[in-house]
Amino acid sequence: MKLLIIAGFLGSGKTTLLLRIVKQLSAGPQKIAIIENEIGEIGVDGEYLNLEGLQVQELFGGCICCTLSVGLLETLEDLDRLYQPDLVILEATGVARPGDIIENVRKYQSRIQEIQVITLVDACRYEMLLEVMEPLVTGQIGAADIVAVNKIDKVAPEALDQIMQSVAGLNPRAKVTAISADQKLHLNTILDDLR
Amino acid sequence: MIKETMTKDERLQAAITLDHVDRHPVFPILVTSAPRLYGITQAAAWQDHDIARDALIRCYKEYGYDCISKPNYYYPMLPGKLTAAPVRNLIPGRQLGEDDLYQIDERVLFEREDYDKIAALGWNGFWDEHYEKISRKSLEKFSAMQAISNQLYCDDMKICEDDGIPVHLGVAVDSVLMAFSLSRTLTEFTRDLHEVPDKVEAAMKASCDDLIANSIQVCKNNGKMMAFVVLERGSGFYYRLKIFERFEWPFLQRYVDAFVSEGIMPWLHFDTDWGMNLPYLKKLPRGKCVCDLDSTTDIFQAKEILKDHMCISGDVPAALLTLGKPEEVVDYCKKLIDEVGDGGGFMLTTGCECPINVKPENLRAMVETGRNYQGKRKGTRASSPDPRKELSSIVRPQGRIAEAFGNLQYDDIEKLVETAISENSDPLDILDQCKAGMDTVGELYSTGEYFLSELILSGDMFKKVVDIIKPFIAKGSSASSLGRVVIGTTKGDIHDLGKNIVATLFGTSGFDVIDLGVDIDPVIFVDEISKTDAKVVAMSALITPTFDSMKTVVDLMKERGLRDDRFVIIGGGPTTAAVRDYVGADAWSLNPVVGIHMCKEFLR
Ligand SMILES: Nc1nc2c(ncn2[C@@H]2O[C@H](COP(=O)(O)OP(=O)(O)OP(=O)(O)O)[C@@H](O)[C@H]2O)c(=O)[nH]1
Ligand SMILES: [Mg+2]
Repeated sequence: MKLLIIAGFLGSGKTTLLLRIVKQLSAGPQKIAIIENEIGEIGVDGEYLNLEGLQVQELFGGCICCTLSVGLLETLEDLDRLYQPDLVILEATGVARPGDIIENVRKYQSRIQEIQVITLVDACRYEMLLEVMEPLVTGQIGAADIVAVNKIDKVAPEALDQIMQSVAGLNPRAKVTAISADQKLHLNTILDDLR
Repeated sequence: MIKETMTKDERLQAAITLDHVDRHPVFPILVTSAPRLYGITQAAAWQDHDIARDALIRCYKEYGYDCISKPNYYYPMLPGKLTAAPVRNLIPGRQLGEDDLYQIDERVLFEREDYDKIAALGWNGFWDEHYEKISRKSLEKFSAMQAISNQLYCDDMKICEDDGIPVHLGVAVDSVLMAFSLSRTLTEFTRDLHEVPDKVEAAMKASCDDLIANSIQVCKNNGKMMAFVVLERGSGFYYRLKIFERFEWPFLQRYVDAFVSEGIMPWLHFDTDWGMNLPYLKKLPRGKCVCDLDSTTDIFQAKEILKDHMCISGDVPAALLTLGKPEEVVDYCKKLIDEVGDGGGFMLTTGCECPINVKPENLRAMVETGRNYQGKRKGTRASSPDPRKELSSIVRPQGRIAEAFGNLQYDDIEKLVETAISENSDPLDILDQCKAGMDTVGELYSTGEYFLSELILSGDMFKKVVDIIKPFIAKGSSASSLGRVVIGTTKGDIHDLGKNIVATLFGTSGFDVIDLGVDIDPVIFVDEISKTDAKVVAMSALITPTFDSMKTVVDLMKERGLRDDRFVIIGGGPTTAAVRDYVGADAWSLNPVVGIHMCKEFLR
């Protein structure tokens, strides 16, 4: 079982991206399951995805430490037992650090062989978030294999350049791309790495 | 089995005041998992407080821990007055499935425009006016419901206590930042912090005392003097320290002062990773509060920082309790007892709430280990509350000079040093003793024993000593330079003693030292690195706000392509390994000799 984590702060476009790429990914022979890990709001994303006829599990709840971490591990176990997907896509809550998720999965879920992390960065709010919420932002970017700077339809090219540079500085190891999930711009730059 | 010689209440109390305990208290923070363990649905436990209470008591008796957190699913309240953001709970059996876990439904409860109103009316005044708008409930009806839940809470608490079961929680109160973040939602609140910080701060200032007063009243009404302070969103997991320093820390200090002076024990419940923020807690009064960690913060590091100052509780992880094996739980609990329990001031508890799907054998393993395992080290004896004695428990080089420093024998110090030199003492040893003495003074200052003037006096003493021994140190230094080091105390910090010691030692160890001084702007710092092409960069901090400017230096180095092939080391009282990571430094040390050794290793 392979795990793809889609991370990024609240409202950065995780669900939008997931909806855009899931069709392409499920076109092949592989069996896909999705875990939606919401904090606060209820069910909207999950319901929407269900319409697409995919296996979707939702995880709600308060605390990242006691409720969500365990819920995720249990859901992975259930999926493995009942559905045996080849690929599980996890939309992480917007306040999760992917590094923490990986640590827990490695410790308690031996069935996951490979983990990939895409972190979405909201181009419109990047500067603001970095200014006040730097620890979380860098935590999310730092653990990514791919960083997708999203909502490029909303920012000027010069501003985008700066964001890309700053992101690359925070995680020299990651592939950094610029996309618009909503406008379906440059999604191939991500898809190529996932297949 | 450890022989128990204390009552449960005595044990809890002694752990908090850092006194001797027969064994460390052990208990889970456990509410929702009790009904689950006995096949009762969450909906049933929400609907009928008798059912919930009975499950909680049954669980307590079956597993045999030291106290229960709450006697039912409700919280104690003050009718019509809020101690937390009025977030809506989604309740199993009503908005959720029969056996789901309850959730909070986070929504915007007030708008940005309302900050001014809060600043004018205060927390209570604002919600008196605003509550009906957001809830579709009349305030009167709401207060009546709160009165009923509070009565249930008190009744159930009495049933427990009549049965000899200690109940833990007197009131649950959000930190000011938490209350505001939950009322605005995390996203909007973050934007507010960036765009209208002054408005947020004014509203917080106007709310803090109401939140405190409401909480004190709740505790008094139900006779349980413990305030469970909910802290999550002000941590260094989310925000930069400057946010914590302005929007969380001042209010948290006010909470603690007010609660302690009312005889209420602040139980600081820290969710997420507070590693960066821990050094601040040393400024809270000693032996009065509990630092409760959720397993995201490194509890072993917390012990290093807070030992002999604050009781730590935690942190058996939820994932371990649900998915681990009993042997793994036992091992982890033993490790906690050995390391965090060493010297006392510890409670073995769950990291945040006991997860709803806890395996019964794991809960049992946790409680049994707490009750039976004595620990490898000194055991459960805490040091005496006398700060002078407390200090003597810390291992550091001893000697007449160190003592003279610690006692601030200003008039004797010169003579002592000169005598030592004439007796051929190693000048580095003298310097080491001075540093130990300075540390003693620093700690006595932080416990309130010494005043600022005494701290400054010790600085003067140190300068005197350095002047005397400098010529002798220089003799021993090697002729060829190991390389350049740029050293300084960055912007926001004017302390130079520690830095001067290190700079002197760098010099005597064969480095070319470029000492920039104190309160150095990061740009100037980095300019100097660039100009001198120094391979070693050393920064010191004695106060926590300096962390951010140290970080700026490293960020600027990266930006200007000066970070590769260079060794950045930090040090100073409040720094920790977590600060090193935050700053992006390569190394951290509180011991100048060790630190300089690291730099030499790097250059090799
Ligand atoms: N302009 C623009 N808007 C976008 C883009 N991608 C997503 N959005 C919008 O951003 C908002 C948030 O998108 P979501 O996909 O729900 O974000 P999310 O990360 O799943 O949000 P949470 O699950 O709440 O953390 C929505 O209003 C989207 O329509 C984009 O490329 N351009
Ligand atoms: Mg989403």
